[in-house]
Amino acid sequence: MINQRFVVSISPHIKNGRTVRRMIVTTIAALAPAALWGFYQFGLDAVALVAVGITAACGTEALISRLAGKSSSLSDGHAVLTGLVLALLVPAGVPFWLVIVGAVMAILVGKMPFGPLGGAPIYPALVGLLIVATSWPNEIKSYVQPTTAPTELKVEGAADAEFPRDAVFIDPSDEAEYKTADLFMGKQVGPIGAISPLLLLLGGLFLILRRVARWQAPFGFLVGMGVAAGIGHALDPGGCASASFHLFTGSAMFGAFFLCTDWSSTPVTPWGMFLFGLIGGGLAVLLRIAGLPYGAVPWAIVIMSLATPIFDRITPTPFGKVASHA
Amino acid sequence: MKTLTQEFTKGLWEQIPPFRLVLGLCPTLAVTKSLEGGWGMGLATTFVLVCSNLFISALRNVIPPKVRIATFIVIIATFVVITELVMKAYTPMLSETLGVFIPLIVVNCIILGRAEAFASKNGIGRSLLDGFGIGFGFTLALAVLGALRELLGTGKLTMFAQANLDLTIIPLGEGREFLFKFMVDPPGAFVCLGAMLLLMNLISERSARSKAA
Repeated sequence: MINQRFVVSISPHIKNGRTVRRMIVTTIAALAPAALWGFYQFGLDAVALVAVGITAACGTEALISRLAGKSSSLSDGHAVLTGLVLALLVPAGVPFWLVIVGAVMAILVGKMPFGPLGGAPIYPALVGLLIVATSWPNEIKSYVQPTTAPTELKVEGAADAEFPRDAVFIDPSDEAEYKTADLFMGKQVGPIGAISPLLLLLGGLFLILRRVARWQAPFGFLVGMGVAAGIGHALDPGGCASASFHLFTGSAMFGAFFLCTDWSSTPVTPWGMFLFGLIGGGLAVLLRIAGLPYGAVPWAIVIMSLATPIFDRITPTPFGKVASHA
Repeated sequence: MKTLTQEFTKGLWEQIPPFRLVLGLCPTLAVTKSLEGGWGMGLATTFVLVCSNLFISALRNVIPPKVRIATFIVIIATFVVITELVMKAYTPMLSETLGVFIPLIVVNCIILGRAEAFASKNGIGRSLLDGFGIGFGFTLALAVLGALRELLGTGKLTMFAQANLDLTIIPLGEGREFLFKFMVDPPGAFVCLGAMLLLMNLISERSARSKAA
C-alpha cells in the first residue's frame, strides 16, 4: 500500500517555486502605473494619502502580531498591499484620519481575526473601505478636480457635483459631456488609483500574463457589467448609462482586475471564478442604478465574496471520472 | 456543589451569558444601539428569568418530563406578556426602542437554557439566585456593549430617554463629524461583540496563567 500523504491547505494553491511575497510584489507593481497616474492627476495629497494608508496598515499589523505573540507577517507585503489598495480606492480629498481608520479596520477586522494570510473571507481593504464609507458617507465623496480633465468637468463641493464616480449615476443625460476616450485615458474624476481604465487594464493583463491572477474572474466581471449595463441602457436610456460609461468610470476596472482576483476571497475553480465575476458585474450595475449612495463595485464584490463557498462547489469533472464504482 | 454566593456571582463573570455561555446573541446584537436599550433589555430579561426560574423550580416535580419544554414556554410566555404590558404602560419610549425584542424574550435561549439546565434540577433558593446572577450578568454585558457602541457611534449616552437623561460625551459641531457611525450599524455590533469576547478571553487566560504560576 502506498503511503499517501496529503497536505490540506487554503488558497493560493498554484505552486511554481514563487513565493507569496513575490506574487504580492507583482500585484503592487501592476498597480503602480495606475497609482502614478493618480499621483500625477491629484498631486501630493494623493501621494500623502497612499503613504498614510500603507503606514497605518503595516503599523496595525505589526502591533497586532506583537500583541498576539506571533511572529510578524509584515515581510510578505500583504499589509502594504492592503494599505495601498485602500488608499487607491478613496478620492484624493478625503481627510487623513479617514484613511488611517480605514487601514486600521481593514487589518484589525478584515484580516487578522482570520489568520495572517489567505484566510480572509472578504478582501480586507474592502472591509476597511466600506466601514469608513458607511461611517462617513459625505467625507468619502471628497472628489478632487484632476490636473488634466475636460474643462466642462465642474467639481464644486463634493457630494452634489455631477461627475462620474462610483455611485448612483444620478443623471445619465450628463453622459454626453464625457467622451469615452477621455474616460478611458483616465481624464476623469474618481478614486485616486481607479481613474485610468487603460493603465488598470495593462496592469491587469500583466498580472494575468505573470499568472498571478487568472483571467476568468476579471473577464466575467467586465462581461457582467457590460451586459447588464447594455440591457439597462437599451430598455431605459434615461435611467441607465451606456456600457462603456459604466465600465470606464468608478472603480469598475480596478474591481475587475485587482479585487475579483484576490486569492482567499474569490472562488478557485474556473467556472466558479467566471460566474463570480459575471454575477458580481451584473450586481454592481444593478446597485449603481437602483441606488447605493456610494461604492457599488466594492459592495458587489463583497457580497459575492460571501457567496464564494457556494461557487467553490462548482468543481470541474476530475480526469477519468466514471459514473459509479459499482 | 457551589455555595449560594457562587450561584449568584457565577453569572457575573464565569458564566456571563453573551460572552461565556454565548447565548441570547439575537437581542444582544439587536438592541445594543444605545445604553438605554442595553439595560432595558437586560432588566426585562432578568425579570422574566427570575420569575420563570422560581416557578419552574417550584413545579419541577409536577411537570411531566415529556412535555416539559412546552410547559416551560407557557410559564415563560406568561411573564413575557406581563413585562410587555407593564413596559408599554409605564415606559412607552423604552418599549418602542426595544420593539419586537420584548415579545421575543419568550424564545431567548438564556431563559429556556436556565430552565432546562438549572431550575428544573435545583431548589427554589438556588434557582432564584441563579436567575438574578445570570440576569444581572446579561444586563451588565448589554449595558457595556450598548454604552460602547452608542459612545463611539453617536457621542452620547442615553440613560433613560423618557426622562431626558442623556449625556453628551463628545460635543458635535459643524464640521466635526468624527463619530464612528459604523458602530451603531448592525455589523458594528458583531465587531464590538467580537472585541469584548476577545477581551474576556484575554483576561481569563492571563488570570489563569498567573494562578498557575
